Amino acid sequence: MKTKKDTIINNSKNEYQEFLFGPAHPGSGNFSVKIKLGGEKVVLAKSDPGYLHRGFEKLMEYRNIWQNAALSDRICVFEPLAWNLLFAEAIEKLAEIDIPEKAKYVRVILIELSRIQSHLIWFGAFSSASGFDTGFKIALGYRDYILDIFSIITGGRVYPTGFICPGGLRRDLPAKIEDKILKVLDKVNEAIFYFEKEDPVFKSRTENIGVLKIDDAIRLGATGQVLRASGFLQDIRKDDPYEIYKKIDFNIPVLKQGDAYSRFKLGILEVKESIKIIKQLLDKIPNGDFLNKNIKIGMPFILPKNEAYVRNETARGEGAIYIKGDGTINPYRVKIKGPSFLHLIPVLEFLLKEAEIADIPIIYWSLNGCPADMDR
Amino acid sequence: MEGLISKIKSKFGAEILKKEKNQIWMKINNKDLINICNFLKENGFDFFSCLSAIDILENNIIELVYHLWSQEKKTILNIKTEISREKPEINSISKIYTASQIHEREIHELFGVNFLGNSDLSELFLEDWSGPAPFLKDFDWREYVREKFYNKENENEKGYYN
Amino acid sequence: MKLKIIPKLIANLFKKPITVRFPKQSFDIPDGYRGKHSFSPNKCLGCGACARICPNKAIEMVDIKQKDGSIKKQPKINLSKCCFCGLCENVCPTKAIHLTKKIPFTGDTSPDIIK
Repeated sequence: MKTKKDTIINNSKNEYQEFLFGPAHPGSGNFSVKIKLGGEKVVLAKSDPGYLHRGFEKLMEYRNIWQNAALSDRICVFEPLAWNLLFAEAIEKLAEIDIPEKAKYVRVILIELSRIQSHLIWFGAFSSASGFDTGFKIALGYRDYILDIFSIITGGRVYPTGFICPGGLRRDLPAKIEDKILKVLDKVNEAIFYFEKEDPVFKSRTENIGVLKIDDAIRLGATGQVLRASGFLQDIRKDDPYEIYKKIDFNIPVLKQGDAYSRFKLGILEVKESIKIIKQLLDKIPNGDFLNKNIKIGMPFILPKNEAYVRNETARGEGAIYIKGDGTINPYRVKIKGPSFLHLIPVLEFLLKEAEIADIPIIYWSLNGCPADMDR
Repeated sequence: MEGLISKIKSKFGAEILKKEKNQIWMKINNKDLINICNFLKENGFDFFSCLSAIDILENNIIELVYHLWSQEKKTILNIKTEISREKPEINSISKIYTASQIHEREIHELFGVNFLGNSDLSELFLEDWSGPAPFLKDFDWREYVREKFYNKENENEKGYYN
Repeated sequence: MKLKIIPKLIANLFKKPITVRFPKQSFDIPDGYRGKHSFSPNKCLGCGACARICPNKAIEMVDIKQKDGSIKKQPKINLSKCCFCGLCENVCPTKAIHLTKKIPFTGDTSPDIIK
């Protein structure tokens, strides 16, 4: 009977083969992994980041806060609105600015819509990597309805350049938008219906693959979805709430197995919770102004000599910004931390260690990593 | 939480700078770093959030800030230390918190700080770079780009020459 | 083999496609979309606030000769560097520059607007 040790084959000179799980866009995004193979099993994996390093932390030191707010949504490709909100919150905490109630409600509705569309891209890419190519087209087709809503409210489909600015919002809500959002949520329910059925082929491809136990997940620094699929309940929206998450009633799903199939199922449960949150907020939006009265967009704003640290729950995990001001209009230092920095370098190298070569795309895509988040 | 803070003050001589709703900022000496991290890990602070570095030219120091989160007490603790700029080195805490190893590797490449005891300090983002550490304040980015890459006659690059 | 899939297949054969053959046909673009700029030279003061706030340095103030012989400074926008953020519209004190709904096409002869 063959044991697991038998399948590692050496040449007579005791050499292994090396190859690159490369940076081609349809295969793995802008990120590559160097893999050493012995037969069919991986012996050593080393990730190779840096293809998208643009030096954001230094670019932000030469620009004032309105130019930085227009620049901050290029940090991550899949969810630009979440990083707009993080930068605006950091400046508001540093200079102690209050924002009106209407702005808080609209911000949370936009963030939850952005979380749904980011998960839809992930479902499409994951099902295409495991061989089911029609899933990619279905998921991206239904994502288009959400992008139409964004272009009515913010003015751009994918990149709302600085719509959530420090002090509130840049424009007012157009009239009669609540009916359109309700129709879009019905379409999202149709899309979830396709991905929710239990398919025996997909299940046998992803069950018990890439198992991450709870002690390893806490030790290696996983946050967000990857930690919740291993059995630990942690969500910044409930532990350390920001904006108006204290007044909303929602649950947080947790699964226990920690393999690739349970991470996929957790994504579907999270989309359903987001739909519940949006429906609660739609009929409660108050009237009022959308921007703080003492701030005009574009005026020179002096940052006080202070420092601040904010964290947020993005669709992929925990994102954080540390900012320090020094009495001029440009910030002195901005440090950005993305959730994929920890998921794609320590956790991936740990999970790839005794895996077979046919499982490498499944493990990589089930971690939901964004290479732009990691390199910034 | 109050009992823990008074214990840290009396045992290690730390200085409390600011207290906000869920965050506490404090400043310590860099020789006590390993003892404080061992003490905090036994008392509920088992999540490592981030590590940031700031370069302050006038006082000739580099300042490091460690951010830790505790799930049972629901607070963030921000610990600040200072190291000198001529010989920047400090003990590594990667044996206590494994998630901090990759953060220390990035700061070693971009700021030039040496972490004693880290298992792997090879290069992360830059390839074949032999100049000074890029994120320090005396390396001017715009001067470097203007000399090496940009052309004054080019229509798209003219605006950066004022 | 599941036979329930056949009626759905036949229904899908006769549906209209979702896509639209752009640029011959077009769908309606909502108001508030950020497209090409439109500039009215009568209202411009020549203060230069739009050139200072642009994040990519896409606006440059040049000297243009007016009809009565005087020389005034007016903005010149480079469309290949612009990111269509709308900050120049928010900063202008007389509302001389604003963004319309027209989509900038590739393939025009020059990417600049000189007004």
